[in-house]
Amino acid sequence: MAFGFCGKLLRVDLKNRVTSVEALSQDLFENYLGGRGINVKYLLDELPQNTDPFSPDNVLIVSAGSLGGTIAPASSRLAIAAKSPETGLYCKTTSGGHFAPELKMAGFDGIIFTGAADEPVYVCINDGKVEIRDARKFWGKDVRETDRLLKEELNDHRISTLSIGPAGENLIRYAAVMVNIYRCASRCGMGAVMGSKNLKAVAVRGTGSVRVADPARFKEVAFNARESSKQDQDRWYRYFFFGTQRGLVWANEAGFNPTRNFQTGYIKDAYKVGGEYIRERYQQRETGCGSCVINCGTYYEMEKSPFGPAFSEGPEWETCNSFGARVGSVDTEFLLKANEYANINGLDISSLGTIIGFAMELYEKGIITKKDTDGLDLTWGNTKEIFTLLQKIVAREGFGKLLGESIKTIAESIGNHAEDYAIHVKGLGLTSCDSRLTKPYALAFTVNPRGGDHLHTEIICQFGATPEHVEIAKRVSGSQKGANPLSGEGKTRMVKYHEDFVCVSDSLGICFFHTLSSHRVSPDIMAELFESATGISMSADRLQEVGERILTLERIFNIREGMQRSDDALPKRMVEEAIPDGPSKGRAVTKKEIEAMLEEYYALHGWDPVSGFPKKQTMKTLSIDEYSKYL
Amino acid sequence: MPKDFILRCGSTGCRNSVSARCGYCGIPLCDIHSRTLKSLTGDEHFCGACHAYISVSGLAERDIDRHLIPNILLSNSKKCTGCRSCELACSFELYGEFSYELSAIRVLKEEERAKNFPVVCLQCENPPCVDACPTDALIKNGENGLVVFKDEECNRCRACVSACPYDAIFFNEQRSRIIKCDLCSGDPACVKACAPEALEWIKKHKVGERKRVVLEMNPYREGK
Repeated sequence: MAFGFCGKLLRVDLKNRVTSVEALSQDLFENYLGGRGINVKYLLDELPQNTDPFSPDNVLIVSAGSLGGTIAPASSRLAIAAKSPETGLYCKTTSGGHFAPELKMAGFDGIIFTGAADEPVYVCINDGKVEIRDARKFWGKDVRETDRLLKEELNDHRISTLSIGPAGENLIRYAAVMVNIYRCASRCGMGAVMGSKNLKAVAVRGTGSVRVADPARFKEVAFNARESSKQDQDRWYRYFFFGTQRGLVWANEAGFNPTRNFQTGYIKDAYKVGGEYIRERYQQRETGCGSCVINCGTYYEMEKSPFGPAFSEGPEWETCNSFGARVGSVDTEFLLKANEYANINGLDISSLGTIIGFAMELYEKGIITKKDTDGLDLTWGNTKEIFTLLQKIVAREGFGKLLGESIKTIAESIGNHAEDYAIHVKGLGLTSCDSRLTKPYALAFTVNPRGGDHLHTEIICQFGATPEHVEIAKRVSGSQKGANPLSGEGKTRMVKYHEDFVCVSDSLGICFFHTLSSHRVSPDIMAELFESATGISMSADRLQEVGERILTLERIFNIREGMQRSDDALPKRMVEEAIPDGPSKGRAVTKKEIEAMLEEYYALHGWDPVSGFPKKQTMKTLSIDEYSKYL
Repeated sequence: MPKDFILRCGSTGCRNSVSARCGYCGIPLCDIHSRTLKSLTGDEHFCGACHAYISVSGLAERDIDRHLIPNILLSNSKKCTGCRSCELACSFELYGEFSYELSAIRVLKEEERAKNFPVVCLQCENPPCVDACPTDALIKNGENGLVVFKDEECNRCRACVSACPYDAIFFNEQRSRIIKCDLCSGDPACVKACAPEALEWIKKHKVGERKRVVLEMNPYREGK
């Protein structure tokens, strides 16, 4: 009997409309843990080299972590992987919600979708019973309506759904997969992959159970971890009341709130798009993902605004910046309406913000004019026109058709030095942190296998917000300046430590708000949780090795798909310009600094400093030398 | 409306014909449910169909003192985030496994509006489930006020499931057994797992000041 994990993988061949079940061995979980780890292994094994992301050959993998469905803090993360249509490289994206626990209770660790259906379908999983059903009547419907109709059709209000909106159907390259309506596996365009496979939704209901190998020990460890996480929240972060958007005002005061397409880091009146303001006026209640202690989700209702009424979960940090400072606006009503609109249509708000900000800067610089934008006046903060543009993007009309591509393609097709203003790494738009202020972020954005994104490491301890964080920062960086984000000293080690364990956290299915962000669920506790849940002996060091293995495989995948070492680079603005004004005036990270950190980073990983390729010896140590054929 | 339309009881799961109306929400109720709720709350204005505003003030003064268990389980949907940790903790306590379907507490979710309603057995004073039970599987313990379920006496007829006005007693198909809250012998696991403190296990003498179940609205009626 399998403990912790289920040991079963569901294969869905959409072309022939057949499903099958494959057994997963214990070794696989020992070496890859589950979730993100299993995803990258299967993707490398099954995806043919140089596949077009929109071709039916692309493989979409959805899997739960090995602790999914248990009471371990926030162990409900769902990991999704495929070749990304936005970057053409590896994609991992994760989401909370209740899909992962339900999937485990239905008896599966993951689902692999291959082929493409000829007509819209959805997959319904009811315990062991899997059906591929007709979804023509759901096509074109938004996520909220799809969820409602699915619950009506299956006559079960307790199902968990994973679905795409019109954005995914229209193959917008940064379309998101929406889980339980408002939770979102957003980055890298997994929604578009689902759309290209004509897969509208997946509904799952599990009435089985998840067992653990040593219930008494698991209970003790899990409840201690929960208590510790909760204390930390009560004391420091208070995500429960304000959501992640709470940090926005702080980031603005620190001068790293990306403003007007990363031109600067400070905007006046940023409080209007911050958590406290929204909570006071619009927030109705708090929400949380499966077995979470922090419950960082918020829900708001807005009765009337020039854009119409709105209700949705969110807006989270990324949204508050993407529909706020990044497009030069502090219009709360626009933010709330645009958030709802992007959510129910299934868009990745981070990429959307970057792309709209990019278009607005091109308009400011005169590279594009009203002729290109269908007469839209894209001056900073012109929220009415931005909302129209948003609708055009979802419908892919006119200028919106172009903006539905990845930022790299848009810049190339506009030409005229537009690339200089495109803020992306490997084709993925940067998220809402200005990498010029903190060295660890700058490095992490550079090396992230999926593109510029804080979720690769999320190093919060670098800011030294609490005495515990200062200690941890000093320990993992091996430097007294560990908790000083402006100093590069020891930051390479810090990045590596965090990315290794973020891999572990994603693979176990624990949200890293509990693990690497707050450090309350330490690597030792993760190892104990895994050991008592699965019965496989595990230690923090071995977990780190698994993390390295996953990262190296992700690197191998990217190299196989044509990534060069030169792709590990920040956009021009982030390395050539200093922050021009605001509280962080003059802060910069230079190319030279990045290069120095990169070399150290590759060496730490056992990768070749010149080519960036994993060394033979490293692959042997990690026992993944079978993949050396791809290099 | 067709002429032969028969109005059914508004309490969930009940198919009896109507004989009364709730004074508060106006929903039609059958004999059993209007009677039950009157005796439960000592107040005509509250009904099983509303699921809302069940005042325990009467209960607290008259009956709770008889309970040997000194505390009472309160649920507050305004605070509930829908993380369902309580469900997992409950099934783990009862069966040593994590399962939403083996739990005696369930969070009713309306995901569109992010509304969450923890539903758990209220250990009624005059429990309809006990009335409905043809065997002695469900009895009201006069000493501590618990509605006790004995599996060995149960004949799996599920009459209790349809009788419960709160949908707080469950039948699991796979295991073929009734799942019912027993308050973990006075130390509920769900409360310990509830991070936002939507579930509280508080001293009975404090209950009179508060509502036993706090709901924002009726999940069944406004939700549609």
